[in-house]
Amino acid sequence: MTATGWRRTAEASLPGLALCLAAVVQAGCSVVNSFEPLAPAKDGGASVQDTTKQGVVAIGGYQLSDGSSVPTDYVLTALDPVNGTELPLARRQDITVASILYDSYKDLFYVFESGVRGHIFPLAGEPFYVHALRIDPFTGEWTELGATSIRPAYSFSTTVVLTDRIAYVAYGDTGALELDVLDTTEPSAITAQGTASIMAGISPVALLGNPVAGTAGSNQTVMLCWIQRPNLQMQSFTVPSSGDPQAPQAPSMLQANVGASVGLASILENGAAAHEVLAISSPTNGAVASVTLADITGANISPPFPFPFTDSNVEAPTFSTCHNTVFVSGTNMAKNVYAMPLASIRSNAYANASINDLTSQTLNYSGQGLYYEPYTDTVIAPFNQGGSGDLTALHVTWTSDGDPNPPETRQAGQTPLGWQQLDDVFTNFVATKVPSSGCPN
Amino acid sequence: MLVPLSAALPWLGCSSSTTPAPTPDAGPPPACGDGTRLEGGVCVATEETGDDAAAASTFTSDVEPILDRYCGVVGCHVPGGATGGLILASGYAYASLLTDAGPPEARSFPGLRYVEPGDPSSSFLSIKIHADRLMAQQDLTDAGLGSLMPPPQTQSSIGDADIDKIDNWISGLTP
Repeated sequence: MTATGWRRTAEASLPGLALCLAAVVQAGCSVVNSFEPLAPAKDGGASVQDTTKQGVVAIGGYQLSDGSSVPTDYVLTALDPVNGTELPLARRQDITVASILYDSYKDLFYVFESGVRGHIFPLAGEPFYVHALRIDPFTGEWTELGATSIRPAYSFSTTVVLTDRIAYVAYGDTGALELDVLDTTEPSAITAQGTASIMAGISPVALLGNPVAGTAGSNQTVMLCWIQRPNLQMQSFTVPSSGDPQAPQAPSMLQANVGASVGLASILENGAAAHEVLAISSPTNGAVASVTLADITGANISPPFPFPFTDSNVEAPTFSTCHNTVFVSGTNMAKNVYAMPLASIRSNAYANASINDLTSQTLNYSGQGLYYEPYTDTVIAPFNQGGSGDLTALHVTWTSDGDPNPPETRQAGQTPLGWQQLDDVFTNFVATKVPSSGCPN
Repeated sequence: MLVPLSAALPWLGCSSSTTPAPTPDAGPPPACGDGTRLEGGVCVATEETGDDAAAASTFTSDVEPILDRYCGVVGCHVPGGATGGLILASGYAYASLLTDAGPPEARSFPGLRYVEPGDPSSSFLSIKIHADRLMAQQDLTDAGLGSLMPPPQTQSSIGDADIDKIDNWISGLTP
């Protein structure tokens, strides 16, 4: 596969760029990867079909050369969620993807790019960019609406889309972590809005938030989360319509007995009716896992209750807004994806359950993350380690009572929903297209 | 005080109540002083001397790619990741294992350093990746040292040649 449609162009740095590091400027702050427009292919030009009916699975990953386990190229691409095949115009070479976010209100993907090849987790002072990209879900043709240099993101897990904004944990000028906000009102001209310091000495594990209808131009809230063992600490930040984000209150302890990790997700239940945080702690040292629901300010909706989960490391859950169902996996010991109705979590229904009582499906490998694709009701579970790779797709159905059935692993050649493994791309990051209502209907 | 594995093993077999409490996660410092640079949120020496310089060279070319492939993968030992705060992704690993203040202790087991210069058999990193050479998995678990890494459930074990590279690097470090 040859590199096509990828070039480097000079682009003006942000005006009055309070966020741009001097080191970044020296390293080439004004150089941003940009997409060349592609000529429509004979079999895949601009689609005339209804793009609102079709999902997309965007992927950031890498390729290996034959016989090597060292990445030879970093790529961005996208899959058809109906069959898992790569969209014909989707692959872009030579881009080290550090995070992918989907903006449901603008129907575009924000792709974070590390300017140092292979540094999917950039270091302080390294060049770093964000691209606003729209994709044709039938052809995979990307259209770049804008791209700009920003301060490097600490982790994909601390990047989040809000209404007309992106909030993310960035490396500041001194190397300390800060909360940066980008104004994405005009995706063609993303600008730095403001920044806030965060508590020194913490290692954030998540930044939670969601775009919510009706919040354009008003204050929004994100929740920064970190572990101060054995407690989960959370601090809410207000993201105003202009200026720096503010932390209106001191950090709060949401939950005790966090083991090695905690899986966190921001939930829009029933569309935008609720804005909640789901925290699933890992068990350790004899303690049991627990589940907590809180609102976005950290106030408990339901107190922690025991949860029969055995893996010492919990990944961030994914969530079906349409079906109000949470999907959970672990990293080390567990190879299962568990499906839990939010109503059951609310009612403490799992408190006395055993692990075998939970609805689940086994993965080929231990989980490294879960992503929900709503157009096909599929949970996508990527894995890559040491030259082994897998991208499992689990189809989910529900009973008439709204309880999930055990997810079924989708296979190549199945109809109507098959799943063709990408044979030459190992997946680091996944983002799915999700309509703003949460439901494709 | 750090406990060499050879001396620690009998003690490690005690009940879990004797397991030292985990330490709080630490984040990046605000700035670095002279002779240091910020790497992975941690201040590290900008230059090494003598044997350590050679060891660092080996680290970059031999060890770091192994750690990046097997440990510093999404969902594992990465910034913002789930597993214990030890970051082994490309560009981060060296500063996580060796700092100008000396090799840090393992967060999940403060009695051991991740790297004990010159002594891989007492290094937490080495113990975790080839526990089977040193002790049985059950002994590892009983000792409170957790699972072999990568966990067997990932079906992705580090090969002997790569383990030897890591051990050789540790052996080459000046105690």
